[in-house]
This record gives sequence, structure tokens and C-alpha cells, in this order.
Amino acid sequence: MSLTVNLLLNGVALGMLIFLIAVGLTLIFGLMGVLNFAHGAIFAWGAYVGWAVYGATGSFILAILAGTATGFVLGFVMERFFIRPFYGNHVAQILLTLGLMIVLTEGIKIFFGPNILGFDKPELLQGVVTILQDPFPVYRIFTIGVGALVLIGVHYLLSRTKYGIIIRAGVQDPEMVQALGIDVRKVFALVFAFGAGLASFGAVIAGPSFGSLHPEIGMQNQLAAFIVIVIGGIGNFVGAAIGAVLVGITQTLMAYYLPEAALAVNVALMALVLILKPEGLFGLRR
Amino acid sequence: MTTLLTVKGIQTFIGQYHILQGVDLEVEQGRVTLILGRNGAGKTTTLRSIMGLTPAKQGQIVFDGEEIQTLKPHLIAQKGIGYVPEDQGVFSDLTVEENMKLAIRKLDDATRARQDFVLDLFPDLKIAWKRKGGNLSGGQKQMLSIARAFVNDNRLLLIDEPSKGLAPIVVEKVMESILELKKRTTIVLVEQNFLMASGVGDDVFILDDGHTVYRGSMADVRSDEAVKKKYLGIGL
Amino acid sequence: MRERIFNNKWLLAAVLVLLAILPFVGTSQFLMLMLIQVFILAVYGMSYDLLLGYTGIVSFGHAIFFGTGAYSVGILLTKMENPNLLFVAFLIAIVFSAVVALLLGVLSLRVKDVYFSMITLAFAELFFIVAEKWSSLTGGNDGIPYIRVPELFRERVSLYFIALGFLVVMFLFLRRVVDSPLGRVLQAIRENERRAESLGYNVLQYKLVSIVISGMVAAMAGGMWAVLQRYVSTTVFSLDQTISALLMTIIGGVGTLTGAILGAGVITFANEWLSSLASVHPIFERWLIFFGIIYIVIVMYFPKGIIGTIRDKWARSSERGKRDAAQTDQRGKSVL
Repeated sequence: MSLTVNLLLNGVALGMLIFLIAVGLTLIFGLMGVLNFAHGAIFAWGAYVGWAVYGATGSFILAILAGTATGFVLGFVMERFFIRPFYGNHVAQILLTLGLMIVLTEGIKIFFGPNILGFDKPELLQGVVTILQDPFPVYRIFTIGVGALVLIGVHYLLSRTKYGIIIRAGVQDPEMVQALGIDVRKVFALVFAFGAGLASFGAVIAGPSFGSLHPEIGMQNQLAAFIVIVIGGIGNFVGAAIGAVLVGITQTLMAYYLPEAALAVNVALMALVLILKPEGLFGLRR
Repeated sequence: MTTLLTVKGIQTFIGQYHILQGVDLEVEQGRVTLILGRNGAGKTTTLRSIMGLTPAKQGQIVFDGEEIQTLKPHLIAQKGIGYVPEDQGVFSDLTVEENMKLAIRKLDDATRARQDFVLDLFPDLKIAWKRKGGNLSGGQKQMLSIARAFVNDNRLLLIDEPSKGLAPIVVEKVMESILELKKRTTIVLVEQNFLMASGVGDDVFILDDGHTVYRGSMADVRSDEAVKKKYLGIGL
Repeated sequence: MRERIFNNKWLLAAVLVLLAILPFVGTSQFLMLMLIQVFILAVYGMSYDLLLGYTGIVSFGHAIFFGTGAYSVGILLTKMENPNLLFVAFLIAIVFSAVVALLLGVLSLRVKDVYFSMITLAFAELFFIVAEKWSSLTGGNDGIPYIRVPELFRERVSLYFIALGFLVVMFLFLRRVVDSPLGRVLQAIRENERRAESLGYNVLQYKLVSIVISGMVAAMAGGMWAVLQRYVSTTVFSLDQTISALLMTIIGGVGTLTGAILGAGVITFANEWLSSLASVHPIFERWLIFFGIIYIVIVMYFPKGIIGTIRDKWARSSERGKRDAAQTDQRGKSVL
């Protein structure tokens, strides 16, 4: 019983981290039809910059701020100079973001070296608490808490604010939003930067949770996020949240019981969703 | 009488297709200007070119003394032009309330008054206020789309085929409301259905094959059997 | 006119003759090895071009087919213990990868194009992991060493000609495919999928045919790679393997086939050269970043790659006398 609870909590914690990556991907895709293959690389940059700042200053809060800012700026620059000239040309956008992924990933190797780096938890968040007579790392709880806060925050933003209305409308019909007098491009740029910022924010949170960083960390997590948004229905925020927790839990369970097949099971899950419901479990048919 | 919108010889391409090959319009303030013509004559593209959604490659579009043909759609909308597209452009994920909220550029007393007015005109929308756009009937979508275009201080409304796919009784209702709105703003109405539109139009432009081929008053068209037959396919 | 010269069989034949006499004019073993690699990778690149350049499908899992071919041939040759059954190994590898391509296509081509790229990427990762974890079959991280191949495939000069012949045959075959009615439908799909559909073509079926052919050709290239290296490791399934197909076709020029060949040459030699500069400055160890940047520049500013851009230029300069400038602006649409 307690083992199951423990695994479930771990799964939720992992799911929250994947969610932070997936939410940006799914919103950017839903809004602009751009699937950002460099999203994982932005995640990795956030993690590495966070690691460097944490190492230099010893402040985890500063690390989070710096990492998030890195992603935000990278996202903004990417949208402005690489994505914007090619709106409507999906092939060029996919190819470009993949090129950016290559350059950003190699950039990490140049700046931080290709080797694995250790990322320690901040002192305050080390240690364990006992849940149902079982030790559970404080950091996991912190992760779940932060993830939940972001989830609520983004949900509030999308459902209650004018920006949220614009984004949801833009996902469906950007042209009509523009015809109503709203500068959709500006919203695109903001969402792109915001989504990238969320991913890199998640990266700094994820760093100590993984315990170490390596240059391929971005691609791995991006794949998990891809699977999540296919399962949840692309462009669908709620779907991404549920899908992320689902994938997080299966991955954790598999990692415990059958570690060889952890990713395989998620890819299989995705394949199953594709066969049965190609628009995703919570997706709308377009 | 003052001219609010002048379109002079615009040419518009979609992909490699030369859709508009010289369209002229003159829209007088406070009137309903009808754009008629067969399917594929370029009526919808004309409205989209005015809105900047498919920008004209050549020609001139002057709104209230200002050239707008090079502006981005959102800036054109902000000049005071409301657009009701052929498919109504209602956001299905958004409630009626959110659709209206999205449209409102500045929430001041005048806007509130206009919103009250348009909701009195379309009481259906009040009832469906919290319902998602995707769950509305065709007529309700049309009303919402018109309400959305009218709620801002727009001096010109471009309405694309409001009768399309609606039951005759609903069309009548929509046309009545257009007469009501005409008292407060200027309207360009694209219609395929001559009989429906003839009750509301003041001035008429007929497009054919991407050209303006006829202009005149409603009365002129009504009495000109040759024109009706040639361009509108209304025989005898 | 000049475009025709460039496209002309004569130019290609001249290059071919040049390549054919190379082994006899004191060319170093090393250069020959490099060229063999180029020939094999060029086939792999062309198979990718069939998808990207001619059908407009962006797959990020092309390594799946290359790897499937390499592993199939490697495993079969090792298990059969008779190197002369090479052809059987290849045949099985081709059939197997055709099945893989069909399954992958059926699974992921039904959804929109953008998903396809993402899903193929995920499946490629799956194949990579299977190759790594199923060590009883694949040797895991150690790979499959000491693959025994027929004598003819071990000797440098004969392998050189086999690889060259392989490239020529595959080039002619793919040329045939893209010039056939099938190829024209594929290109119609690339230009405008909906229009192709409205003309009554079953787009999904055509895309499936394209991916199956592409997969089979890529698998053959992978098999040749295994024969050349006499060793197969998980890298054949890696993302870098897919990226190399992308770089070759994009840099060389999409939708040209010859572009992929040129791209394979450019990348293999530049890679070698840049790696050798690593002693000058460690940044050259990260040669991939240079290709990444070149790739981005090409996608943004020269979407037709080297071959396509040169062709355009020649076509335009020869046309200038005849047509007015306005008409030359109306260039044909390519995949980008």
C-alpha cells in the first residue's frame, strides 16, 4: 500500500515536471501551428544556466530566476527571428526549430562541457518527511507544489483573463482574432516566450530532482512532453495536464517494476491513443 | 452625403490565382451598400481585402479619408471597421460572454450602451450568455457575430452573406436587425440571395469575375431585368 | 539551356567516369574509404529526399530504417555464420524494414503532418532503446562486432566499386520513381495535399508507398554500412543519424536527389576536416554546431539548397534574354 502511494506521488511529481515542458509546447502549437523541436533545448539551457547561477551564488531562487529568464529570452529571440518570417510554412518551421535544437544542444556542450554535472538540492529542501509511515523526499513535495501552483496559475490565466480569452480564441482562428482588432503576432511572441520560460523554469526545478544534468536532457524530456501532448490532444491545456500526470505515473511505475521498458510503454501508450483516438484523449477534432 | 469608404481598382491574389482584377466601391455614410454577384465573383475576397486579411496587391482603399490598404488587419479593425465573416467566425470554445469580451476594445459607457442595445436586438444572446459558441444555432452564431462587430465604436460593418445556411424566418430576423443597425452605423452587405437583400439595400455594386461591372441604386437594379439576368441569374 | 547541361546525363556520366578511374591513379586507401562512406550515405540521403523533397513529409525518425537495415544485416550475418548468404540477409532486411515502414506509416501518417515529425522522433527513440536494452539480440551497448562479410566486400577496391554501383543503381531507381506517374502524384501531394485529394488520389496510400520505398532504400544503405564497418552499434538508431540525413538533403538541395549525393560528400569530408582541426581549437570537436548553423541559414535563405540554388541561378541567367524580369520572379514552389 505505502509503496504504491510512494510511487504514485513520485509519478505525480514527475508528471508535474513534464507538464511544465508540455504546456508551452501545446499552447505554442495550438496557437501558431508551430511544433517547437527546440523546446527541449531551451529546457536544457534553463537547467544549465540555473545550475551555473546556483553554483556561483548559492541561491536557488536566483537560479530559478536566471533559468526562467534564459528560456524567456531564448523563446522571444527564436520567435522573432526564426519563427515569425515563416508563419504558415510549417515545413520550414519544423526544419528550423530542429536546426535550432542542434545548435543550442551543441552550444551547451561548448559552454558547459559534454559531461554529466551534479545538481544538488538546496539545503532547505533536502531531507525527507514521513507519509503513511514511508519516507518521502521533501523535494518531491516541493515539485508537486510548484507544479500545482503553475497549473492553477496557467489555468486562471487562460480561463479568467482577457489574455487567456485571446489565446483560446487564437488557437481556433487567429485570423478572426486579428479582424477583431487584436495584434495576434504580439500575442504569439508573448506566448512563445512564456511557454519557453515555463519550460526553463521547470528545468531549474527538475535539475535537483534528477540530481544531474547532461546535454541530452532536453531531448529526453521533450520526447516525454511530445507523448503527453499527443495523448492529451494537441493544443489542449487540460489534456496536457492530465496526460503529463498519466505519463509521469506510468514512467515511475515502469521505472520501478520494469526499468527497461519505461519509455517503451509511453511510446506504446501514444501509439494506442493514435490508433484509437488520433485527436488525443481530450482533443477536439479539427 | 459623405463617402465613408472608397475602393479603387484593387487587385488581389490568392496563391497564384488572380481573384480581384479591378474592384471599385463607394460606400456612403449611413446607408446599406450591397455587393451582389455570382458564386466566385470575388465578393468575399473584396471584404477580406478591405479588412487586410488578403491584402490587395494594387489599388487603393480609403476609409474616412485615410489609405488603409497597407495596414495590418488589427489596425484596420481599430480604425473602426467591424467584420462578420461568411462562417461567422464565432469561437466555439468561448462562451457568448467571452466572445463579446474578446471583441470589446475599450469598455466604456458608450460601449456598454451599445452592448445593451445589441442584446435587446438579439435577446437570444442574453439567454445563451454562458453557453459555448460551439453550441449555438446557426442563427444565434450569426447574431453573435454581428453583435461582436457592432459592440465597438465601428463606423463601418462588413457583413458577409448573413443569410447563408439559415432558415428563411431567421434570415428575415437578421435582415430586420440590419435595418435597425443601419440607423447607427454604415453597412456593407455581401449577398448571394438577391431577394433577401433587396429589402435592406440602398446602393448596389455587382461584381463579376473579379471586376465591378455595375453600380447603381437598389431601385435601378430592381427595374433592370437585363442586369439581373446577366449577373445575378435571376430570369423572368 | 545551362540548366539542362547541369541536369544532363553527360555531366553525371563524366563524374561517374572520374570516380571509376580514381582507384587506379594512386588514390589513398583513406580517401577511398571516405568515398565509400559518401556513396552509402548518399543513398541514405536520397531515400530521405524521396520523403522530404518529393512527398513533403518531414520525418525525424529516418534512422529507424537505416538502423533496421544495419542491425538486420549484422545480426543475420552473425547468426547464419555464412558470409556468402549476404544477399539473403539483405533481402530479409529489406522486407523487414518495409514492414516497419508500413506500420510506422499506418500509425502516424493518419494524423497531421506536424504530428508525424514528432511521432517519428518518438519511435526512433524507442528503436534506439530497444537496440540498447535487448542485448541478447543486439549486443546492447557493445553492438555487433566482427561481422563476417564475403571476401569481395572486404577488399577496398572491390568494395569501392560495389558501393559506387550501389549508388548508381539506387540513383537510377529513385530517379525512375520520382519521374514516374507515382512520383508526380507524390509531388502533387507535396505541393498541395488537399488538391491532390480532391483530384481523387488516395493521399494516405501514396504517402505509404513513399515511406515504404524510402524505408527499404534506407535499410539497404544501413545494411551496406554494416558491411563496410563490419560492426553495428546503437548509433545507427541515434538522433544524429537522422540529423545527418536531414543535413545532407537540406544542404545539398531538397527534391533533387543529386543534392543528397552532394550533401553526403560535403558533410563527410567537412566532418573529417573539422574534426582534424580539434587539435587547433577544441570548438572543432563540436563540428555539428557549424552544420547546424549552415543548415539554419540554408533553410532560411536558400531553401533549395546548393544544387537547387545553382540551378535557379543558371536558369535565370539564361532566361534573362528571353523573358522579362517579372516572369522570372514567379519561381516554382519547392518543399520549403
